[in-house]
Amino acid sequence: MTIVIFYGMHHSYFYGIIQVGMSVIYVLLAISLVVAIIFFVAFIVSVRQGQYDDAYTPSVRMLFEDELVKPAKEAENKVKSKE
Amino acid sequence: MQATNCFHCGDPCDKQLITFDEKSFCCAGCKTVYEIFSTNDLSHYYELQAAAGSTPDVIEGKYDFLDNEEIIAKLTEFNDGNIQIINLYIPTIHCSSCIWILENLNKLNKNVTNSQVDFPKKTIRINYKQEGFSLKELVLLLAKIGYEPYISLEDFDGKKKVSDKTLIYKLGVAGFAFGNVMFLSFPEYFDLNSSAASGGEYWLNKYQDLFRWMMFIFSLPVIFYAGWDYFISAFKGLRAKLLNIDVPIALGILVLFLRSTYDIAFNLGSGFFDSLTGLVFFLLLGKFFQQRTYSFLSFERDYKSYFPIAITRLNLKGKEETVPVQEIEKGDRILIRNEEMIPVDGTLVYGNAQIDYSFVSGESEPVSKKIGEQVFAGGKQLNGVIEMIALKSVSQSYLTQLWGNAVFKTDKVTTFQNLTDSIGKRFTIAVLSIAFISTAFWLFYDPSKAMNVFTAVLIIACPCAIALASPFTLGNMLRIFGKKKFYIKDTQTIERLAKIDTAIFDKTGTITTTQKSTAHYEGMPLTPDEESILKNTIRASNHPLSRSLYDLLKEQNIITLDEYEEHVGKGLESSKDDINMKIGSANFVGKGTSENLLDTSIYISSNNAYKGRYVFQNQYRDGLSSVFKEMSETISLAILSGDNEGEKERLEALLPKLTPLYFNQKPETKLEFIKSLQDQGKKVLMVGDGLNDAGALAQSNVGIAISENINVFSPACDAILDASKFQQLYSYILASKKAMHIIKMSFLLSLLYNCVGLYFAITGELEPVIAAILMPLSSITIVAFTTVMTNLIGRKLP
Repeated sequence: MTIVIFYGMHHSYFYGIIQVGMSVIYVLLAISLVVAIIFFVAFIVSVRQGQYDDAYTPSVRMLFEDELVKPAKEAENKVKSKE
Repeated sequence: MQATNCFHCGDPCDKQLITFDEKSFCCAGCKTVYEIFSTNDLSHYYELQAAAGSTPDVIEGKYDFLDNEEIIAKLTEFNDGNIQIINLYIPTIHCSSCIWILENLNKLNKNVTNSQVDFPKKTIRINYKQEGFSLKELVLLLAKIGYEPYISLEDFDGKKKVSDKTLIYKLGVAGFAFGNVMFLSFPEYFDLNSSAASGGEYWLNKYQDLFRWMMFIFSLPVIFYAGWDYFISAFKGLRAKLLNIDVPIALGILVLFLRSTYDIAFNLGSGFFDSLTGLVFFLLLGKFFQQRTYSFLSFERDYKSYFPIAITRLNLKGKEETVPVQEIEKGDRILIRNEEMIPVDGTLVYGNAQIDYSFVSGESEPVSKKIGEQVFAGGKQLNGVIEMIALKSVSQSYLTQLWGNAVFKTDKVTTFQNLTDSIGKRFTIAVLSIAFISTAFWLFYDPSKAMNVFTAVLIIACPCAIALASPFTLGNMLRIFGKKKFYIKDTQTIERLAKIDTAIFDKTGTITTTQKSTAHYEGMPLTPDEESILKNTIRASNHPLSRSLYDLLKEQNIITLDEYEEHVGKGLESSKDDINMKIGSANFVGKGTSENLLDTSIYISSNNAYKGRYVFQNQYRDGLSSVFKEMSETISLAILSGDNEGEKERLEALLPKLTPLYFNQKPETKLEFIKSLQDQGKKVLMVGDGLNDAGALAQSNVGIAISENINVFSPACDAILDASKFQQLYSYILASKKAMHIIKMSFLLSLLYNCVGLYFAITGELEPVIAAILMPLSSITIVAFTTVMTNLIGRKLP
């Protein structure tokens, strides 16, 4: 926690920071570090799990229909209508 | 007749036309697959991509070996007695329909619980319940729908290779540290030389040390993990008395680290941690870019990927049993089915052997063997079932012994000094002398600055851009070549290719096509009736020559022959009305001896009168003459063939004059031939296709395998060239030479940057921020330059 006290109104006066407990800078650094490390660990884990081994198939797979029966019937109709 | 294409596989239905469900199919196999799909509500398959299928081709009994528990245990990835997981390689995977149908296998069989395709690798991972199902049934199911897996001895041997991910981890660590160090450097970037007294930010100055020591901590893993390879490589180089490019890099990294630590410890400045981590990150990025793996290709194949896993052995009671090939012992009686490969040397004891040795020796025509004769491993039986007695075990057979040669154990990479390393030597000497001279000057002039200048020179001269030039140029070329169907194993192969001065070609399969054969007729013209009988006679024969001739002869109406008889190893005899025809060897038709022993011909006689013969010729690849003519201007050429001299005159006419031709070359003699050329200081390119060239491909400086179908097998080599691009071979060699020019130009460019940097260093004015700007700038320039230039080369390539 920090409390900022102005020692004067003129701009050339410097203002100081009085520390109460831990400086906010430590908190901010700690947070940024933790976030960075979380992403780093996530990266290592995903590489280890092999998520980058096949970068192509998932892009095709996501376009498939989940339910099979319906599109299959439509397909027949389409083929028949073509003829 | 209007050309109709098969609804399933898209091939023209010219030989046969089956109409089913208002759709046309080229064969019963394709129709069956369609039936299976449509009855299981899977005809969405044809929606995704029209005519996506492949014709199923199943041979009875081929997969009986999959009943063997021991084999199942070795092939499966996971097996707890109930659920089994297996990874299968399916060469026919080629489109999104394939992925869809294979991932819906559970609709075809309930026992399959999960299946996942890896498209780039062309593999499928299947989980299935063992109860009421088996690996054999699974493989047969796949084969039935046109996705026959390829199972070879290689799968059987040990576990799958785990891909090396170390570089990705190192890149991750370096990138992580680089980003964070940059972030922590921000106060320094915006508030240079500030102190509370001069009006700088109070808190930035107060926490300056914290920021700096955090940068120090972030740089530790970069030095001791991510960049450690450079120290090892430099150390190895120095021990071998070689100044490779890693020496100045390691020196630069080390000096960066020590100077920065010194600076922050004595509060002299912020240090160069941003440059340090950035440098290592860019270098690793270059290394990563250099890697281009064609996961669907293999450059390391040996005989194991060609050999079957198991073979049918006849035990003492005459019963068939399936045994893994390694367990075959001398004296075992083995059954070889049609289209199966002979795994060991042995003696033929039963059946008509028509053995295709094209794999092993390069001979284009199958060889007939009589009972009691020897057959060798690597041949493929083409004509029904044979039985043989093994004379040796698999590893002692003639073919497999080739792999005992020391050539297969030496790595070409270690015996080659690349361009970057050869420049590294001169570079290191130059940098060190500049550093010492300027230090000496400052010692004399202003000793307090001497150490500063010495370290600054080593830091700024760190050849990051030089080290990036080659990986980015060659990595790009690798991709460009890959798009042009020339698949190269690694970037170093391009460097070696650029230096080639001698090229050796195999004949069969390399400069000739395997797909079509041409034949011309010599002798008295045949009457229309005779032509019709000829075509109808060979229609029934399975002999490879008959098959080729059948495809070459013009269309005839199908007639029923009165008599038809196949005299094995001699020829065919048939009669219709009053014409009796004999088709086959010269002796068989009553011609006496053949006119030319080296030719491959089919002789024809009608009513015991000799009519004429069809002479088969190798079909040479299109543009062979022009390719050789162009190449012969800068490269000395030769042909090494395992075949006989039958084609010598034709080849001499096609090729540039005085091209040396060597025939009847055995695999080891090919290897020795290349070795003797290399002993004369030649840089040899070997272009081959079969296992018989494997030794020569391994021995040569660059071994290129020509392949009609890159998904099928090619022997161990440095590069695989799609046969359709054979004509471009020379332009690819020229392109790799141009790539080397680009690298040299990049060296000049990065030297320019070094000169600018050295100016700051020598005058003792190198601020961390200048280094932090100059280093990435030079690297980015090099990357941009090489990318643009290589793409220009690539655009010109046909």
